[in-house]
Amino acid sequence: MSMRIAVGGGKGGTGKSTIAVNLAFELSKKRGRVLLVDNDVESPVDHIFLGGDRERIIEINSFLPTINEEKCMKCGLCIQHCPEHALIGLVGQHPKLLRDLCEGCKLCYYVCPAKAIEEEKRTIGYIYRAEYRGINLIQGEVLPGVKQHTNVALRTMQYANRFFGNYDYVIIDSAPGTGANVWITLNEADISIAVTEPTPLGVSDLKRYLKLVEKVGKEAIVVINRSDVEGGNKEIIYSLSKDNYPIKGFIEVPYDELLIKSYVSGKLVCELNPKASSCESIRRILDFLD
Amino acid sequence: MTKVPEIVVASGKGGTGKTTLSSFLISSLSLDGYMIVGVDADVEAPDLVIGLGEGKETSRESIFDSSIAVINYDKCSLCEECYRACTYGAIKWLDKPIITQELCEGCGVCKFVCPDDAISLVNTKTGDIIVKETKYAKVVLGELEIGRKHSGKLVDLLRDKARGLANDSDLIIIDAAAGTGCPVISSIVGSDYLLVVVEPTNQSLVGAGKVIDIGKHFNIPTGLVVNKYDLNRDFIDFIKKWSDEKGISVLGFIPYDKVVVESYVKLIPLIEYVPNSNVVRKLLEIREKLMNELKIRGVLG
Repeated sequence: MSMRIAVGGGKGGTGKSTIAVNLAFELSKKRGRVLLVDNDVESPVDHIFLGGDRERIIEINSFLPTINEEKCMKCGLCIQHCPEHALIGLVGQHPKLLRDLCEGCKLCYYVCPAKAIEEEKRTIGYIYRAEYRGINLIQGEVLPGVKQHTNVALRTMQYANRFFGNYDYVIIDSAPGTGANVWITLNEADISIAVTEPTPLGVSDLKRYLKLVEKVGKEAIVVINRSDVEGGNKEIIYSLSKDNYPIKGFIEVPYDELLIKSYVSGKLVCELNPKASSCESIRRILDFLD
Repeated sequence: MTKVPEIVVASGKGGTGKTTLSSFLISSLSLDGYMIVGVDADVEAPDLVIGLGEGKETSRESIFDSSIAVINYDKCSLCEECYRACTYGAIKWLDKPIITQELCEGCGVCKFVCPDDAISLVNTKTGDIIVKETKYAKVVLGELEIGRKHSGKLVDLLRDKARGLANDSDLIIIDAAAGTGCPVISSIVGSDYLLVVVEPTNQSLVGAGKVIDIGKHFNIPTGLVVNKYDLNRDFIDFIKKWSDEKGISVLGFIPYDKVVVESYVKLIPLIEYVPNSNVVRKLLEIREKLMNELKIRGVLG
């Protein structure tokens, strides 16, 4: 059985991807086969840390209606039913589609008594694969302007899920926030790593994230990234009680110039500087995974 | 009644400095006599009020405008029509159809295709809409029910609420969520100016590029702000070229400074915590450029 670890935390920019890719690197070096799933489909960046190359392997499509005007009776039923108001027009006119609003639910197709709504496929995103130093990456990405990011996240997880059995560890990098797309990643996981920063913003978003972890019946290792950053206050993170939140433990990753340097150059700190203080701390997460 | 101009701050990638910039604009403009209404459009991780030194909650209403499907198994004949029709993967088949609430859009396809009349749609809570009074401005924020969809719809409602409160105001300033998906699109549509905050990294430009494309799609004038630019000076020329290619102007560069984190921890906005600092000077320059852009474009009188 593989161990599945969802990396989240609520707030954006706390270092989820940095922790996820470096942890994947350490696990693949020391523990076994690692699959990294980048499920931050709105802003996926894990491939940048893994050499930058990626191969597009799957097109994610959704339903988009086209109206066959010869068959359309102009009854207006599709317009009445469309939950996103993506079909507009008056009774007596052919309906007009506002593509941006359509979420592909297909209700119009079913309600049309004249079978005048035909199925057109619309690409809403892609799944990519990459391989770097023993880490296999599966990455989902939604196309810009497409509203169905949750659907792309779900389809990426469903695709990745088929390969979980081939790996000892599966690391799932999630989007910021606490919505349905983050729920999708947590739902697949055995345990979560919640990455936060030592500020009131970090703790506020972490609380909401830990509520979500609790809701799916899991536990989280809280990683306080840049724990000693100047001006910060890590005590506000430690003030979260294990009685009220599903916290398995805390790990501090100190502010580290070497990490910043490798981050901005799109590299893994644990590969470039295995002895860096940040990397030593990231390795301590492994102890929690026994 | 003329429309109050709306400025939206977005980034694509999280943690680049959206809240730092939007809370600065709100606090500093308010101290200079402008009437501002703030909107925290990150309903999954709302932080704007913290950036304004916290505030007092003056109203809270729960929104029950989303629906989810519920199956009456006494009527269900196990025909699998609903399972096949759901395009959101919200119906699993475990000897019978099971609805996954978190994935249900409430579109009603399953109800429509069910031949047994076994499915109904029930109203469910989307989240709360809250107004907080800060020292500088009223802020409208939302709290999405944890783990739910419909964040975009909640953002639409927040913006309506803010417009209702902004009768005598000069500006509405919207702090968008991280990402490029539905809630961010809802934050950008209908705004008068889009501010995109990036860090000097390739990781940041991935999301920022998409946000800029969304702005373009809806014809919204856009400006770029580069935060923590000095963490990677080599990247600056590239960003300038990149923004030229995208056809947007760079409004300014903000240096990395520990006072930003400090001011958050102390709950005192930068403009009051370190009014004479280099960071505040740079932020004020950006603010002036922004106000000029708004005047040139006729957004602001």
